[in-house]
Amino acid sequence: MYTREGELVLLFLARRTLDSAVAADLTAETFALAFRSWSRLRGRSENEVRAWLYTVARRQVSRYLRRGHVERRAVQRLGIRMPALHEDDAAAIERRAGLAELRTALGIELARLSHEQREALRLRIVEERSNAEVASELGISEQAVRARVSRGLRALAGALEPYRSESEILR
Amino acid sequence: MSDLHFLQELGAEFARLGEARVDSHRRGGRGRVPRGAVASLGLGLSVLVVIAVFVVSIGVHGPDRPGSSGPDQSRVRVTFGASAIDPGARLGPALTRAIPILRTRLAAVPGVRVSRTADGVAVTAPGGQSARARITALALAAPAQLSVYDWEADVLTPAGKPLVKRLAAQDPAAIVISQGLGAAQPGEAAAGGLSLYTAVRLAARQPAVSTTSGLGRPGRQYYLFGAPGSTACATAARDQRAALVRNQPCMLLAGPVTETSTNGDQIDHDVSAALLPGISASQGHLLAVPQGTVVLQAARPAFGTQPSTRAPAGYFVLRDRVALAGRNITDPQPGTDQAGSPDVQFQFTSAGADAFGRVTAQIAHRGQLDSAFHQTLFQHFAVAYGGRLLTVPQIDFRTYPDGVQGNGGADITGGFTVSSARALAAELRLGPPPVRLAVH
Repeated sequence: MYTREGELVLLFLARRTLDSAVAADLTAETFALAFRSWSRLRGRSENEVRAWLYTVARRQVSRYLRRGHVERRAVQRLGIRMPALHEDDAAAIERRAGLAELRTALGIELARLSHEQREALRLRIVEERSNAEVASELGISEQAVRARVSRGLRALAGALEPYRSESEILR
Repeated sequence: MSDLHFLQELGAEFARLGEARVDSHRRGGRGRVPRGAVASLGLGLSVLVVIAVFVVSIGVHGPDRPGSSGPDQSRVRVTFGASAIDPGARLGPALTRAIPILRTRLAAVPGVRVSRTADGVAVTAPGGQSARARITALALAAPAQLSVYDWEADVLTPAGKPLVKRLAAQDPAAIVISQGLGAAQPGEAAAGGLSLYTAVRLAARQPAVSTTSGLGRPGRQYYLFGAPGSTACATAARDQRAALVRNQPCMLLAGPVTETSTNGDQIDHDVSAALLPGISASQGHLLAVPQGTVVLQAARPAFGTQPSTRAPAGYFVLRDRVALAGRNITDPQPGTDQAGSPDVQFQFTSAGADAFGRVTAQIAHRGQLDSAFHQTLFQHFAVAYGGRLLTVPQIDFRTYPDGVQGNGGADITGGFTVSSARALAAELRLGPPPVRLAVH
């Protein structure tokens, strides 16, 4: 399964996070979760396994977007020694996932967001500040920060929909 | 596999974890030597156990009887009347063909001699009642069958579940039965074998199947057990000179139950007729294994060697779904393998080659499906003969992703001696004797 799906899952995650390093981390966490849950999986056909795997991967993206950082709980529990992401690999992921094109589209879509949403996203995602810090910076509650970030990301995800590959849409 | 270094290195981590997980299931095994794909089918002693009137203590094999064939001991003589099975055949030529078959079949009795009488056969051997019972059992037993099973699909776990389902759930007990334990290969006693009593109780709880198609044994099989510490067990163990395991029931008798003999009286009558003197059927606990389930004795680590009296006898319970039978092989011959060790070589019939290809393909595909994260779980087929597993070879799905074609025949290896390889080849080649015997 890993041999067959590893790169596809990595590129799938790269298109959703626009970051090869984050995608690599999420790929490791996705397969670590799959490894731990494999024995409980009932359907073992290729399609069933793939559907299950991408469900796990999507949850990782959601969690990452919601919390703003990659969780490595399953990786750590299994004691996986995380490999470094080589520069060559990062470049290959960028190219194969078409991230440059996606970023351009994202830039356009980002400009369409409201100023409040854009600022919340910049502080929370780009500068990787905590919800409390963003709330303090913008003078709003943490709940309001989470709402703005969430709505902003949903809007961006919707805008990026046309850039998903056909095979991803089918999943 | 992707050419990305990151994914390759991450894959190596999962491979390490997968191996560690399998190793932990094997509970500290000592580095198992992987078996080749199908090149070798180890083979065990050709014991006819269809009617085993000699006593086997549960969990322990009795040692051979040293000195029982000594010249100073008295011999028993058992005479059998014979009639040709083919009504149109003359008795004389049929007996001529039957004698070597019976000699092969009775070779397990030390010092046995088989000779022809005017209307049948006389068999003599050193010993007393036990030797008489053993001669009678072996001479009258139905011919042993060579049967091939899909191991993971047919063998049951101690909880009575099909191994293949528990394997998918990473059940440690299932992994041991499928993958072996330490140096013990799959099918050997130490790799998840049960005591006979436990195995028979498990088998007796299985539902009966109505169809006889594809079965290795039509009808039921009964086992009569003596209570632990009972007089019957002590008598039987004394007669057989077998070690008696404390707190364990002992087997007094096993045999087939025909579909017509389903009432208790008839079974009891059969049992009483075959029991050793001094033991009555009422002293035993009768268990019947329904049609569709078999209890097979574990494979011996090496053929031709008597197991230690301390070695536990192991048994496995299988669904009796024979993928390939003795009638599907032709021209069995003793030979030597590439390493020069004795083996038995044979060809498949056309139907046999198809069946072999089919079952090995199923096993290969399932092995591939169940292997994930580099936890390579090769799956196996089992070869059984006369109630005993001979060997449980694995199918390497990486080498044989679509199974193994049987067009070139196969050879059975695994600790044969020259004489034991000859004996098995002869038994497979000769088939059943062309006469029906009855004790005079």
